[in-house]
Amino acid sequence: MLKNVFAKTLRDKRKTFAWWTLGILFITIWYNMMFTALEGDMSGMNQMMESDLVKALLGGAYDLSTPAGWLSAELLPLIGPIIFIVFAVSFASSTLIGEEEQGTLDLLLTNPVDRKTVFFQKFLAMIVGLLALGFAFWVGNIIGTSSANMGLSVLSLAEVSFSLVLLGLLFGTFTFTLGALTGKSGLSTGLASAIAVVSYLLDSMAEIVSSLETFRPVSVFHYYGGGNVLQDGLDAGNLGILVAGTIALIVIGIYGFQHRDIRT
Amino acid sequence: MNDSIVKVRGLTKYYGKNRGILDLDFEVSEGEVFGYLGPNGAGKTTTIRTLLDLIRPTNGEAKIFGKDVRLDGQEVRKSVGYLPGELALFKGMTGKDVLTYLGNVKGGVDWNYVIELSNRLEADLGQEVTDLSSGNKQKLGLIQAFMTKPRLLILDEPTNGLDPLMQQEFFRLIEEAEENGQTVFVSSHILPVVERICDRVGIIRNGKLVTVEEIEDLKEGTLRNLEIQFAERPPEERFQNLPGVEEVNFEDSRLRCKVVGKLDDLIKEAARYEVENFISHEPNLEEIFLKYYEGEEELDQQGGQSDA
Repeated sequence: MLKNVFAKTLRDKRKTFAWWTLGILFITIWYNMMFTALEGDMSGMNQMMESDLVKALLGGAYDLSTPAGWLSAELLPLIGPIIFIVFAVSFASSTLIGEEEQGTLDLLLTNPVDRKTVFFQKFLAMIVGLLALGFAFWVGNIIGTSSANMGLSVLSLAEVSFSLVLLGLLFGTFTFTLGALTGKSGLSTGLASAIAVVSYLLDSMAEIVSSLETFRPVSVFHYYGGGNVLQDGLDAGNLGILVAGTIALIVIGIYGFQHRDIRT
Repeated sequence: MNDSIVKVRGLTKYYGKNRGILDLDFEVSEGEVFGYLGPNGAGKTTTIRTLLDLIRPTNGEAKIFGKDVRLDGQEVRKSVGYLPGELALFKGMTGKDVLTYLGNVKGGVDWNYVIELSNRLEADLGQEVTDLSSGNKQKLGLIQAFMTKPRLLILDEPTNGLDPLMQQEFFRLIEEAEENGQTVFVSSHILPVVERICDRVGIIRNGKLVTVEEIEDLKEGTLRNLEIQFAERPPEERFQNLPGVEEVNFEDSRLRCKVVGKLDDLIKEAARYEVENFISHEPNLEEIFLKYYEGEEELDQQGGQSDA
């Protein structure tokens, strides 16, 4: 695990990975179990779904008596994104900039490595972490849905897990890049979190406030899709935008990181 | 054939208003131990971090092995061992882990030599680095700098935290490096350290290079404190007017004086009488240091006054 920067970064995070994976398995299975527990008692809750406030919170009205509707309303609008975004942002702010703030980046970069390689290897570790999380989310939902006999398709669950990975990746990349440009983890984390919150509010509020509809494309959450992915499958255009945004940020981050002074 | 290992021309780095380095010019030749002397905050670390391409100069250029440290940095760093001035080690790792990791990233490490270094420095490789004392961290820092037997060693305040015994071991490592033909660039604010190991020394203050001289030349022209114990007290006046001999002072049969430059006249005069003991106090670089600084401070004060 000490072969290179990539392996060492994964090694640093092995405990973090383990805990997050366990947590995700627990949460996903639990949400699926809740569906069976509450089944047959959904009429009241479905009435509630019609209220504007609930629509705003969940980003749409879903039929809670169906398994897909249940997950789309309960797990996918907020809990799922929070898990993936928080994981990605904290991972991003503790790897490259984390080393800079601890002062170990000097020791690393004075070896015969170029900054681009260090950036890439640390970034790759973040992708691996997010994929592991996505996998756990997928497996947890499969276990949950099959033990609760919800009959959701394995493929749809994979698709929605993947869209969560991409959402997290975009926010992680944003944090990573901002850190690579400035060397400041507080700034990067804060700004990423603020954008996430505004994105979420904008996207969900647009459901009831028609004047916000025009601004919806500005929100990152708009491209994530949430429950829509579970019901209608992945949207290539939305996926493309998340990936394109991530790649653009990587390019900016690498360029900036190569052209600035490392802080002491 | 270019045998200058480090070559710095007009190197300038501004940080905000005051900090940084200004228009540095110096060269370090192959096989030399070059001391970079100055008080804390003078610009030593800034110079070193520029050489390692951690920070980019505002002006001027730095070359190592004839290659630009900016454009060919990765190539250059293959043959450079570096000890940071403020050493931070990776969390959650033992000393052994840190050395394994850095060795893998560096490549070309002779692990037998690493073990030898650890034994000689009595480094504790089993403990988590965050639990280590600063001296024990410094040992790891030294090992990783020396581990590839690099052509150039850049050591920023290497004796930080080392106890006297380990300092001696460090001096031996430097001597061995010199014998192997390695070049050493060592910064310090501790004069005896530089005096002990360096061939030449550059003195930096407020970001400016005050002088670059052979250690010997630097000592020459400075006061040397001497004590001579005679069997019987010789006539004092015979010592009063010797060229270069000052502050002659007898205490019974013991002569104390200060000598500038050659000792020849004094020795020949003393040899006329029975000498029991002869003690030469090495000229203190501190005094040399102060000499350069006093001049600068006066200038600074003048500058300050004209601003006011």
